[in-house]
Amino acid sequence: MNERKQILKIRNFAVSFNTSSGKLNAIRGVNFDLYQGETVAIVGESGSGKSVTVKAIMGIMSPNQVIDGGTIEFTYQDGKQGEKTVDILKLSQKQLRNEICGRRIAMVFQDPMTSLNPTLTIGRQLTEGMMYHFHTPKAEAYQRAEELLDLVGIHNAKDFLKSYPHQLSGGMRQRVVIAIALACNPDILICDEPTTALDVTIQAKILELIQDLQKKLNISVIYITHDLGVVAKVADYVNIMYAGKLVEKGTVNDIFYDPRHPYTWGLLSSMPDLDTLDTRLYTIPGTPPNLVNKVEGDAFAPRNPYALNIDLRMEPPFFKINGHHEVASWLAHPNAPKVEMPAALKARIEKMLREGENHG
Amino acid sequence: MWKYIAKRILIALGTLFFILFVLFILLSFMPGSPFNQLTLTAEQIAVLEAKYGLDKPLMIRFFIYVKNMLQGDFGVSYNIIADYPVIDLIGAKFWISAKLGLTATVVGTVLGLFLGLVASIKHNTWLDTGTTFLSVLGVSLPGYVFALALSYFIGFKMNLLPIVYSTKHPVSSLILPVLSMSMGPMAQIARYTRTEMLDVLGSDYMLLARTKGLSNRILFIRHALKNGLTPVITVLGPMLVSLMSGSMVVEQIFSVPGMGSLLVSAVQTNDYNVVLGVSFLYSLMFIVSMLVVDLLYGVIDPRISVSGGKKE
Amino acid sequence: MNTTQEDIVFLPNDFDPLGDRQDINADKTFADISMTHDIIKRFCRNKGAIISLAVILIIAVMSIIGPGMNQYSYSEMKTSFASLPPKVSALSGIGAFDGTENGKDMYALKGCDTDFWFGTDPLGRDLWTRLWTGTRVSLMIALIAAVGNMFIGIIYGLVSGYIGGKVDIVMQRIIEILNGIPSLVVMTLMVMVMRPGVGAIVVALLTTGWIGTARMVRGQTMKIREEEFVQASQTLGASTFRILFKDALPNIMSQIITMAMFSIPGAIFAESFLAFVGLGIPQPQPSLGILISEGYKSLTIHPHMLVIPVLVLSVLMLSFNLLADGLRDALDPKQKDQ
Repeated sequence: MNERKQILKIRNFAVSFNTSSGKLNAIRGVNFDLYQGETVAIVGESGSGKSVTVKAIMGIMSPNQVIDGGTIEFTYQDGKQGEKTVDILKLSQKQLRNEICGRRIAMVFQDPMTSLNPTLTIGRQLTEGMMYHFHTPKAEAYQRAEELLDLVGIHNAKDFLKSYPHQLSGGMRQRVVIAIALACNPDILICDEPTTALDVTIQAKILELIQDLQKKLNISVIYITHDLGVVAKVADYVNIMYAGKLVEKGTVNDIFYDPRHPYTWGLLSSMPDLDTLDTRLYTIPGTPPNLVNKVEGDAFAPRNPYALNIDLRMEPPFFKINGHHEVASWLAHPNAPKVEMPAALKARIEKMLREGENHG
Repeated sequence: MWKYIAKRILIALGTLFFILFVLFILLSFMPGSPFNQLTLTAEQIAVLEAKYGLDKPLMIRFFIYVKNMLQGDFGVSYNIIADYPVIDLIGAKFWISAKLGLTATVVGTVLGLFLGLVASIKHNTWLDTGTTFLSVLGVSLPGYVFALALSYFIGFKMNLLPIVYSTKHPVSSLILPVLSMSMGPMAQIARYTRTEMLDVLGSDYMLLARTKGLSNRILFIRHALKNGLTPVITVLGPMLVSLMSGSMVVEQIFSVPGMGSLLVSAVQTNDYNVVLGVSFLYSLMFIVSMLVVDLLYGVIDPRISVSGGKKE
Repeated sequence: MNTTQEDIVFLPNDFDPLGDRQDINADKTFADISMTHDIIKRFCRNKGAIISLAVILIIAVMSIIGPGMNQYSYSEMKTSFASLPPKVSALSGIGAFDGTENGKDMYALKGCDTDFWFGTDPLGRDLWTRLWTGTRVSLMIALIAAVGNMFIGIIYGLVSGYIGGKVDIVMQRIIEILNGIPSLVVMTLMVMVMRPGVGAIVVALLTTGWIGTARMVRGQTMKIREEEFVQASQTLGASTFRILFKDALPNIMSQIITMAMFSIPGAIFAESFLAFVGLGIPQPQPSLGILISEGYKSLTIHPHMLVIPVLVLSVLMLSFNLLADGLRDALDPKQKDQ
């Protein structure tokens, strides 16, 4: 592996929301790293805090949101000063807008049907970012918009630029949204469940497109998803998130072939699989904890069939499995009893490995 | 586009024809006669009815009326000013009502838009609460309550402004009527604007626009305003008409000699032709304003296809 | 996060499995709340709606028992005691309800030794009795109109939406024509045709008041007609009528009720409007509209004759609006206020 350049470094990030039923600790200390040109997926159930985390990277917060601590360090090339590292949480709204949003970090949202402004033409929405940040002349901006659309697979787009979002299909719209995100050559592209709202046939195409663009443009991508199928297809690294905390992180191979956290086991087991004989789809029992209440010990313990006594009183730290694989579970402690992953999952992984060998 | 407009106009004309028919039938069922002075004998009434063509069968009278109407003749008044053409009677009153209604609509719209925008931008602050309270009040209470309150306190007790309309003070004597009439529209528009703007401000496309790093001013003007305010146009036209037709009581309170008071006195004296003329004019304005709003909306909002489609 | 592994002091049984000592299938997060309970809870959280409901109930009760609370009737005239200001002897200390007008004790001047709590009108009728009788009349008109409009609207909308085709087109044209005439004008004409009276006013209110409900019911019916559960009951052999009432209606009942609620203040206003135009219910029966248009004539001399009925009318209309608002939010939290 050649020299990796870190561009995003989140440390001890904590966020809470003031709600009518009390203070909700949505993010409870998250460490997250992103290196140039790589794709990291954040996987978790809805409400686990993945969206809140990435939105904070762009400075998007709801009015009742409070940052309780942590840093989000972002390293980028500033034209004049060379390499520069800033803590996004310390920037003013204005700095954030002028320096970061759109220019260096861009985002693709879940639902392309609602994320385009219905009353502005595609051309206008594609060009306004460049025209605002770089003062690109209009003709040039439209020229570039055409190139961008070409890049995302919409060719001969001159007339297309004059159309309105409602005239396009969902897949087309998502391409436009991706083109908008790329308009100012960002370093980081955040994709918040970019394919959930699309037809299955189009999902694969959009994923391929994003992967393709990433290679061409050498950008870093953060994927937010609850779909492990997507993760297997696109990600280099995977972070599993549960109840506002990361519980396991590693490379795709670590997570898929050597998962260590019982929650990851649960997620993998609940992936539908045509080949397995077991007809019952596995679900993780129970529901995520209500984060208004203080979490004692391991948040996953109440749903964990492998929970230990210590899980009830102490939160597990990260244990290193190898150079790139870490897990926050007491099961990884040397004193812990040796617990094997569920047999069905094990069988499934072995089968995948065999298939991998056959194909490779 | 033109085909669509033509189709809409044809439909509107058809509707208007039927409305006229319904109004005509309704009035022919009116009890009593316009000629109800006690001094008149039965023969005299019969002569009068023959003179005005009231003795002919209903359908024939209707077609005569339509034929005359197309030539601008709405018949003559029986009682208010005997034998005076209805069209001239209305014409004199129409402008003052239109002036009153239009001014109140403009004042109400401007104030309402302002309040609605402020409330949506300052969502969940005391400004928002205050605006909401004001608009609940304005939506709930009829215009004449404001008219009574204003004329009593500002006009009578404080003696600041005239409480009776007079041609000598055409501006100052219209302030109170306009003010009391604009409360309803103001409240309605403020409420509507607030909801629409909150919807827009919380939308996904606003979020996407924010991630582009645009300034708040551009975000607000280019992305939010147009989407938030377009729907408000739909309420304007019908509002103007209902304001004019609903102003009867306010016109009475301030003695404004408008269409409202004309209709009231026509109702009270069984002056059928005048009642018919005024009612038809109201309907005409109503239909026309809805047509205009429809077409205007099609021009402003690209989602509405000119072939008559609806919002997705 | 900062705990290093050396800091931790482990207990001897720390690494024993919990095993069956916890029920991992327990769902602790959400309590089991029934839908009705949920609606009531949401409604109760809305203070404005609760206060409005209380105010409406108080006014309604007063309109029932109020007229019987003193010895006067609403039509009994005592011309010698005409236009007396309000007087409640028990409250004479507070500066109002002391029977004075412009500093003069009108009761002493006219030689009246009994109290008229809300004063008398120019014909010497007791305004307390007239007010509550009038409120009762106005409320009755509004309620009957609201319920009537609801029924007409539901049936018209169901028929139009469910049968569809030509019937629907004709029915929609009829609505368009009725809707093309401003509703106050329609009402004025209807009352003129039928001669003023409670019945005429109710019928006038029923002429166009149902259109909104009918449109909504039609739209929903057309939507629901295509939905699977209705088609399912159809394949199971349910009759059209049964489907309409059992499957389509409950889905939109909350919206219909809210709409009916919103129509009540409109009906109260329409009654007062007709009274003002001179088409109110005939003498000597009072209604809020009649009281207001009578009181208006002596606004500058005896403001109490106007102020009290206007206040009751305003409070009623405001309360019904707030109640309807609260009801809508409680029944359907997704619906936005317009």
